[in-house]
Amino acid sequence: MSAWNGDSTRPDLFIERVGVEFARRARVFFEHDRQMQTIVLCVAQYMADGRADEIHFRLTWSNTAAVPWPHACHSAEVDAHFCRRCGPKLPDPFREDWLPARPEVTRAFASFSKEGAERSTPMSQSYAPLFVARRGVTDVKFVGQLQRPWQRPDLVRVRAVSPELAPLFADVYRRPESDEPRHVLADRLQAMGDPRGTFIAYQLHPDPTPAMLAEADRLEEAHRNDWLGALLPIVSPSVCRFTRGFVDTAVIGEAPQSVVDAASIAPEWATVETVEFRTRFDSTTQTFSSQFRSARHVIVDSTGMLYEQGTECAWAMESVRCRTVFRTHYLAGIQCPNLRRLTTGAYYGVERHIVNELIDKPWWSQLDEVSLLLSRPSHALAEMIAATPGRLRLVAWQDRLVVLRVAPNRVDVRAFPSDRATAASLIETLQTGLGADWQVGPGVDLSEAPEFDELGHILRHFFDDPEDAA
Amino acid sequence: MIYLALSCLQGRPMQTAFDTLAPLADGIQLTPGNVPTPGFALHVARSGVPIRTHHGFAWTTRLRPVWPDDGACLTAAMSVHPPEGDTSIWEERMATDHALWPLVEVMYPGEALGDDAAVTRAMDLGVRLAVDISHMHIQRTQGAMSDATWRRLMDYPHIGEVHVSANDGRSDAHRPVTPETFGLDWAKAKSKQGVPLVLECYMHRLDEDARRRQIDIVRGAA
Repeated sequence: MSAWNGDSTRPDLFIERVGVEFARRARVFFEHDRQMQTIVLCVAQYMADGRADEIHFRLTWSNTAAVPWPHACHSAEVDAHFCRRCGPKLPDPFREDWLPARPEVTRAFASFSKEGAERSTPMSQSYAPLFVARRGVTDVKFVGQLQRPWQRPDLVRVRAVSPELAPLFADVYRRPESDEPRHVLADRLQAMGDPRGTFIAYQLHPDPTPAMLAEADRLEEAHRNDWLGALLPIVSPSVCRFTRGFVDTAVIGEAPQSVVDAASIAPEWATVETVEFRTRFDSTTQTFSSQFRSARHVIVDSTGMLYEQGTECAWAMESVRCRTVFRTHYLAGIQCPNLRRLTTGAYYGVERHIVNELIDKPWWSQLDEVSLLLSRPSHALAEMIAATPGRLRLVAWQDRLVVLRVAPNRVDVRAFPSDRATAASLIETLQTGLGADWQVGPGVDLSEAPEFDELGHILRHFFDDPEDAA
Repeated sequence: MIYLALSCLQGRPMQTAFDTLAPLADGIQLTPGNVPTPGFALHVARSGVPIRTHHGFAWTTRLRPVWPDDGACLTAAMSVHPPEGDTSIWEERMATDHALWPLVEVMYPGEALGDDAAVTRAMDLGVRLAVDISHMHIQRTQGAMSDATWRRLMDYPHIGEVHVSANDGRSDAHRPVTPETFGLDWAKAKSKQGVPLVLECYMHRLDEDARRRQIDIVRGAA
């Protein structure tokens, strides 16, 4: 097969070559069925103990412009989506041998394949989309997402190849930190009369006039749903925020897993810096784990949601905020070398071995701010205070106490009048634990504070508003 | 002893998989298919975790060759799969060489040692075997092994390792086990006799509690 001759040792070049071959064969496939509008090439790696863990490809196609993924045969919801098993029998330009059985195939595509797949798992669970071809469009679009970045960390995340605008969008997603590709895209969109060009330009403007700001707000209001693109089905549009022309803050709500799966492959995630999960399903965070490793700020209901995937690779997050309690050891297991701010509840309190595990983490010594909700303080608290260089706020909800470091070597223990005896005991314990260099004393009364009647309430009151807590 | 196969987290970096799995069981069976981690051999040595080695495991590559065309065994692993493809030379050499081989794993239809006749011949020769109950489930479901041969295999004295996972009888899916998994009671009985038992279901999509439950089931505690 001549298409595979030459240097194919670089996986990225090999993937592009597969894309070209897919585009060529997709055109033939479109000719077999004039109704066909969209074709998706999906990839899976079946794990087989002791074998080569073969890469497998399958097609889904649609008679509509919708991307036929995820696919379930004979789905009542999408009766115009097909695969080889449920669709009309057509001549097959993608025979079993359309790709050579060579190690390059595994090397190139393992990263884009889901974990734990095997022959008998449903297609939507074992396969992931790789390329999308559309009728009448010369190029195909690469939509593969790194499912397992540790396999090939050198592979880029987005490799869109579609006419005119797609490369410009891809450049934005490839370099989300840079304004340059956004300016290039804005110029091109403005030349085409697309209002998003104006929106991006106004949001990038270093000194926007009130009129520019008002126009940007108007455009965002009018076009927000369009510009959210593939994110729209799972985010709450009204609380998403656009910065520098692209979505910057995304709030993810409940959605069926199939919708989550489909949205999870969207390249638009590349510009999202703050992500908040308003969902109880851990599988949602798992689905998004590869995208969200680049998020700088993460808000979740439970740190367990991060734990499953978070231990495998480092997260880029600078702040994590957990709205409820969690098992403290989950956090100790997550790699987050850039973490600066931590806000969370701790279900089991601060036990000595957990304290040791946490403060031994390289990132603990670089925290600028720790806000921790405990069931009750323990003598390990002194060690945590001594090991935490930044701002520290601890709420012990069972004992109805607030511990604040108000100066480098000064700690206040604040209590309701009825809890002063408990506070006095903690002050004595902390003073003993911290030593004479520290000043530990009673702070102001909490008489005006709300009662400690509900964990979420405490977190909101004491942690959402730092000035109030301090 | 209950071992977890590194392939429970196949495809992940070796050291990550090892560190995740090692606290759950008595030891780790090092298997091919994980991404090599620099310094992994030293890491394993320092951990003190008991290990076994399987098939084409290597410290620095995902998989190394096991059987060359001449039927000689290249690996020092404790257990191996039979060769694939044309196995005629290997089968010839079985009669004379099997004592030099590691434990050879009983497979499923379409593979060497994948049916009644092949397993019977291996037992007749006294070949030391690793028995995978999920492979046996496939053989039994597909009618490739008789009741008599299965009973003989269960009592075969030269079984040095038992591999455990579940499937639907059609393909080797490496699914999590349940107390009702085919052959599990026999596997547990062999374990009590001192035969190493290797749990090798895929655990990528199981949380830590579910992974521990897998061990409990294999130990008979669940």
